[in-house]
Amino acid sequence: MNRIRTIALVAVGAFLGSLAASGQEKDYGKAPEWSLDVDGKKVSSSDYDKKVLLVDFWATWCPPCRKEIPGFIELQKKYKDKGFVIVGFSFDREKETHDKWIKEQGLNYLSIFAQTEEAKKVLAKFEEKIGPVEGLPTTIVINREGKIIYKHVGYGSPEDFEKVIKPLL
Amino acid sequence: MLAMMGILAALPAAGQERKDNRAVLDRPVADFRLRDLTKDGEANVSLSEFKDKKAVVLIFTSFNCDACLLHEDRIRRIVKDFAGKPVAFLAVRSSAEDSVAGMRKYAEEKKFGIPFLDDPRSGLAEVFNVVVTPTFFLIDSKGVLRYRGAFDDGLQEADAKKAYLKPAIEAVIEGREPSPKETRTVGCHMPRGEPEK
Repeated sequence: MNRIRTIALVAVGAFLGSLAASGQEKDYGKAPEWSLDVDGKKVSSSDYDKKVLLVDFWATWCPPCRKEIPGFIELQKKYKDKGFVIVGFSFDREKETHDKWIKEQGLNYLSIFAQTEEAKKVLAKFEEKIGPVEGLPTTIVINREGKIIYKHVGYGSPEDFEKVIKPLL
Repeated sequence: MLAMMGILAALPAAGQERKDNRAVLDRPVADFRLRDLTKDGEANVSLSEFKDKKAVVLIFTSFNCDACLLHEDRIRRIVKDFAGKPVAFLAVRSSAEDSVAGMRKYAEEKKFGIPFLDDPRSGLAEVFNVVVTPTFFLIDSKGVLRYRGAFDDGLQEADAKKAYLKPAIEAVIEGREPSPKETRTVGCHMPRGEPEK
C-alpha cells in the first residue's frame, strides 16, 4: 500500500453530529402517481390529493424507524383534521412481521408492505425524485400541491417533522 | 505532531463539507489508524500495516441495527472462507448509537475473530461516506478502493440470489476488477458523531 496517504482521523467528528440525521427542505419535484392493492383495497396517490402527506420509508428491523413511530402516531392524531396524512412504506421481509408489529403499536395511519413487485415499482418512482432510499428511516413530505418539498434521512423527532408540516397545513 | 497540527488546521468549519480525503472507487484511500476495541490499551490498527495482504475488507456495522445482526453468520463464514488467504477483515464501530463497551461485548459474544475498530467521532465513516449499516468496502494491496456496497442482494441470507462481496474479494486476489464495483446497500441509517456512553 505504498501509495497510501496518511491522515489522522481525529477531531473531525464534532461537526458531523449535524449530519447524524439530516433533513433537507428543497423542491424535489412533483410526487409520483401510484396505485397499489393493499389487502384487497385499492390505494392511490390520488387519495391524498390536496392533503399534506408524510411518507415514511421504514422497516420493523430498523431501530431508529421503530423509535419514530410513536411520534408519527401523535402527529397523525394531532393534525388529521387539518388535512395531514401519513403513509408508511415498509421494507420488511415478511408481511406477517410487518402486520403484527403495526397492530401491536396501534398505528393510526396506513403502512404498506412494500416488498411486493408492484410496491417496488412505486418505490422506484419515488427514488426517481428523491434518490435511492438506502438508509432507513427516510421520510419525505409532500405539500398540498403534490410537490415533494422535504426529505429526512435517519431518526427525526416529532418536533423535527412538526416544524416542516405545520406551515403547510 | 507537526503533521497532526497541519491536519487539524485544515479541518473544516462547522457545516462545511470535507471532501478532500473522501474514499473514491478506483483511487487510493487514505491510511487510517484506529484502536481495536476488542483489546485492552492502545491496540491500534492501521490500514498500512496490511501491506502483505491482497485485500482488506472494511465492515461498517452496528449492534443496534437488525440488518447488521442478520449478516452475522455471513460475516463469520466469509472470514472462515478466506482464512489462510491474504485477506484481512476489519469491522468498524462508527455509529453514534453504539457504545464502545457495547460493541466490545457484542464482538466478544459473537466471536467474529476479526478486529473491531473504534471510529470515535465517525471520522472514518465520513471518509468512506457511510450512510447505512452494514456497508462493506474492499481495498486492494495498493490501497485502492475496489468495491463498496452490500454483502449480497439479500437482507436475509435466505433471500440472497447474488453474492457481491465474495466474488469481489476473489477478483481482487486474482488481480481482476470486481464486477460490480458498487452495489446498493439497504440498512439502518447510521448516525455519526460521538458514541453513546
